[in-house]
Amino acid sequence: MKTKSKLAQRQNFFGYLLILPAFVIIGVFSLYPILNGLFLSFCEWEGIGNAAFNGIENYITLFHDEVFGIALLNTLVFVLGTVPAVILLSLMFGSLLNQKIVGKKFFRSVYFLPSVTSGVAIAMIWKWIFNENTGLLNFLLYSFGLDSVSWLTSSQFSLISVMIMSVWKSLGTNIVIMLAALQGVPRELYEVVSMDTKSGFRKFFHITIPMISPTIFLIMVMSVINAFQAFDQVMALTGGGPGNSSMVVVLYIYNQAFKNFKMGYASTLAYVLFLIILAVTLIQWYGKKHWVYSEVE
Amino acid sequence: MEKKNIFKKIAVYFFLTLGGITMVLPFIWMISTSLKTKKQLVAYPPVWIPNPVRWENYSEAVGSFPFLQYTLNTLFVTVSVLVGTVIISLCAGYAFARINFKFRDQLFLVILATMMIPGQVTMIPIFKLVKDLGWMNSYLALIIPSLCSGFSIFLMRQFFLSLPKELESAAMVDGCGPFRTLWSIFVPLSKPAIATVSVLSFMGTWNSFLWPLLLISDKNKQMITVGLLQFQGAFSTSYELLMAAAFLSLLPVFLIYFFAQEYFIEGIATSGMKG
Repeated sequence: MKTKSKLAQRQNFFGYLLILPAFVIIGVFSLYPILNGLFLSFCEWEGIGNAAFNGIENYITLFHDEVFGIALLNTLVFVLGTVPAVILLSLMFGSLLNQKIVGKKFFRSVYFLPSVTSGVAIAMIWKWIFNENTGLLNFLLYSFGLDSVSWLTSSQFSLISVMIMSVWKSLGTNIVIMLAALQGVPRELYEVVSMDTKSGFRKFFHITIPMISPTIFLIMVMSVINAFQAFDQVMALTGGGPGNSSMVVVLYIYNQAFKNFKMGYASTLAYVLFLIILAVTLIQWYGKKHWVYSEVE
Repeated sequence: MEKKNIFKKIAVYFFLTLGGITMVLPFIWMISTSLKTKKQLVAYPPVWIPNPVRWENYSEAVGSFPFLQYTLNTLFVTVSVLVGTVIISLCAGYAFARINFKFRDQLFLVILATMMIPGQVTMIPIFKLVKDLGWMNSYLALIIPSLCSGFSIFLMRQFFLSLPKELESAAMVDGCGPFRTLWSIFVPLSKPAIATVSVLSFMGTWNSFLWPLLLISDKNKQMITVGLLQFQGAFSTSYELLMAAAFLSLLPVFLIYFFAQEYFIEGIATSGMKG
């Protein structure tokens, strides 16, 4: 008995020792900043000197901030536009890759290519592709007999352009995740069903979709979180313009903090964004039980 | 039936190829543009194969902006973060998977929870913290906060969980302490996991944009992503130079992806398994 507790003590000691570095960094650079951010959201601070407490003033300002409203609306459009597109396209290409085909790995590597590159470099390339007069995309439209579009310079299309580029960039990651899930569906399930039905579509909707629904859920949750945080690509492609037509919340927070030096107010915006993301994630989590297949239940 | 199958095959390859072209074409267009003369740049219809090929665009891009310096800076930060991340996630992942200590599962939950926190929420507090620490314009500000990646710890833990239970008992018989066991038995076995964590860390740091934008203002110390954006600001219409610069900034990632793609894809595919 005595040796056992000694062993447990030793185990505790080495366990804590090994996770110590990770927790020091998490404590200093994640947990502390989160609490400090909450504090700063109730302060006025211009980036120098001490932050001055000003109660809920920032939160009141926020409710009357028109540009924040626009940025939030644009972000919601961005989320609702890109997430379903990414899910459908990654499901489609994942399913195509899951067929018996030659060059599966080659295609997978090609699809993943945009995912390894930086948002800034990608935005530079797409800026050139979206160019109104000499861009590739308008030439393509022209070849099909369509009118050219002011992708980046009209407030009607700037947000759509950012969305097109974002879907293109994030697709590969999700195709890889989707394919891994599809490969994990047991073959026997299909064999059982193919006895009484031959329809590929029915198999797809009655076996494949339920079996990979946990992965679809995961892709949905992660894509929504990422879409709410869109920043690099928007900043490099349109800078939020023209006007505020492609302004998203994080870019607005950045501008408030590092262009207008309203760091307290920017913290308030950041916290509200955090709460929105949290709420949306929780809603998805509770909606999960209606459509996500779980082996445990 | 046979005929139907052939049609199906053709359709599958058609859509896969169409998707593949969509993914690659922007990069080919970038390379093509980077080798064009000003005149060819605006040629209508677009020219795919530049003639004459203008290699000088690359020397001009490199000559007018300190890209080599930025690449070296980024390389230094990236490698530092990579080494630190591997060590920290190896230790923590091992502890979470193989050592039975008090509150282990609760502490692991904390790690998972911090993964869900959007970086933008901590953007201003970290800016303040870095300022208070006197780390502005120092690579410490880019390296230290990035060392603990929840996802890397998660990957390492999953890998260590998959190894057989007998390993520890064999080590005990040999009289190895816990550190010797980790170092001489588990580390050699975990090379694939280390490779996966390394490439993901490399990709994350090399492409990181927000933190250098906020924390580094000294021009000579800048990272490649922010440098690229500043270059775009300075040469906004010289697309041949911009594309040359973009290609140079992507080249290291392309090379590593080419040689280690299975680790990139393995790492991403595993992320789907945590659901």
